[in-house]
Amino acid sequence: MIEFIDVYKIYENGTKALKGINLKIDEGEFVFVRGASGAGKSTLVKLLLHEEKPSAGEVIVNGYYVSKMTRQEVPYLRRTMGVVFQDFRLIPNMTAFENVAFAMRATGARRRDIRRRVPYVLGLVGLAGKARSHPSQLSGGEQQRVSLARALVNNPSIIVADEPTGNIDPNLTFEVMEMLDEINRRGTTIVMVTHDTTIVERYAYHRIVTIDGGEIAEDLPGSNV
Amino acid sequence: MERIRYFFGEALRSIWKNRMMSMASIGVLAVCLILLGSSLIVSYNISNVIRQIEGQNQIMVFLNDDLDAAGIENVGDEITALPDVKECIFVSKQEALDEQKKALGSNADLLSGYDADNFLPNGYRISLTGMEHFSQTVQSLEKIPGIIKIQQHEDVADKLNNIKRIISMVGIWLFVILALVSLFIISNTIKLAMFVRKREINIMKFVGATDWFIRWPFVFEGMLIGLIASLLAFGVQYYIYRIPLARVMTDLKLQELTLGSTNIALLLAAFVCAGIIVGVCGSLISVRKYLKV
Repeated sequence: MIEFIDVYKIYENGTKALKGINLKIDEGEFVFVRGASGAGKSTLVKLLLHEEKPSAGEVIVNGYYVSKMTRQEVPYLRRTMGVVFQDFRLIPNMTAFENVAFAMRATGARRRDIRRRVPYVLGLVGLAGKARSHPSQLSGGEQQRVSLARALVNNPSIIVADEPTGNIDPNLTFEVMEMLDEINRRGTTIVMVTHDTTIVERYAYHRIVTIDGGEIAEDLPGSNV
Repeated sequence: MERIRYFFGEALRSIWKNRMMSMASIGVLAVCLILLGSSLIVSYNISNVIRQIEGQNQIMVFLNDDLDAAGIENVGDEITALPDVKECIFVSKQEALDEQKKALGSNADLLSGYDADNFLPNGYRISLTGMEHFSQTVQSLEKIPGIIKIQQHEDVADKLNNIKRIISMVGIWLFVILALVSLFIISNTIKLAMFVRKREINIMKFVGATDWFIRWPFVFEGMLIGLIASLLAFGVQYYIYRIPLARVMTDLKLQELTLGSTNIALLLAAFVCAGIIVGVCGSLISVRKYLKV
């Protein structure tokens, strides 16, 4: 569960990125966070990941109070979330398998569990046959699915996707979107940040939160809840 | 256990990836340790020589050639009467010459011309019961008429002591300076290793790796560099000590270099400890400074 309570974020250079955000996302929801660039979307993501702390207010993620966390607690907050970035952030000299295994190992998982879990997750995103491929040998959509597998591998309750379709051929965006939909159907909360209105409109049966100038301009509930 | 294997594997991978830098670090650290080891071995041996000289408890006195047999015996009685004198053995001119010849070994014929005209004086070799009253005994000996020269080893011991002090001082300072250089190079090697893996570190942070999970491989890397350097240094040191250094020392008429097996083990332990400490410190410097995780 994610909760923003009256959150303000003012950067050191004086930019007021968020001006009083109140937002509650329940478990199992699929939420689009939409807005033009500079509207405050990325700040929202940074607060979720504890990359930044709120200047005022509180962000509660899976029971962690972001503004009161100690450095030691941050990794454990991040383990409850999977993150997908616009630029995939895969390690070029590792295969798809290794890229996913790497994320699991980073949390101290046992080798035996890694060997069992990684092929399963790669299968889930439809890349069972590409485990030995390097990112350069994969299409943009496939790379993003590897990064989705990496986000999923530690079994998070929330997936945060920051412009996941931004770097993908428009014809292939649907494969990533279908994947996210499928993951959501299995019970994982999804927060997808995007400025791509065509995608949002096509999947408009999900909840759509529109941010403008650091404030929530519109919050349309999904139709299939 | 599995984690340690992972950290170890990562460290090895990283050393191999930056092998030029790793080799430089290992090399400098090894040289630093060899210097430390050499000065330790040399000082240790000089101490041994000093102890041996002191342990001889001997004073050699030489007699005036004018003394007749009775006079010589008189002097002997006077010496024996002194406190602390354990033994007083007469060494005749001829015996003294024979001893010198023996010391020269194959070059003994250099002295053959002196058989008829022996320039060496008669003397007494005096053994003391202890070294405590050494200088008083020497003073008493000086008062006995007929004694023209007293030879004692104290000045030799003093000189050796000085040499030893200088060698250990120079050795330790060189060690300190080179240790600092090694620290600098190792910390740069680790910094480079972290730079190469910036992307991986960033991703590890996002998937929830703890700070120490990210740091450990780099600490292991420093440790491994230290360990490899210390083993290398020990190997080279052993060789140096065995061959050229031993030859120099024997040429200088100091007795052969000795290092018992316990001392060799101690030296190895010292190398490994010093190497690992320098390696770990080097990596911690970088990890602290550049790895804000």
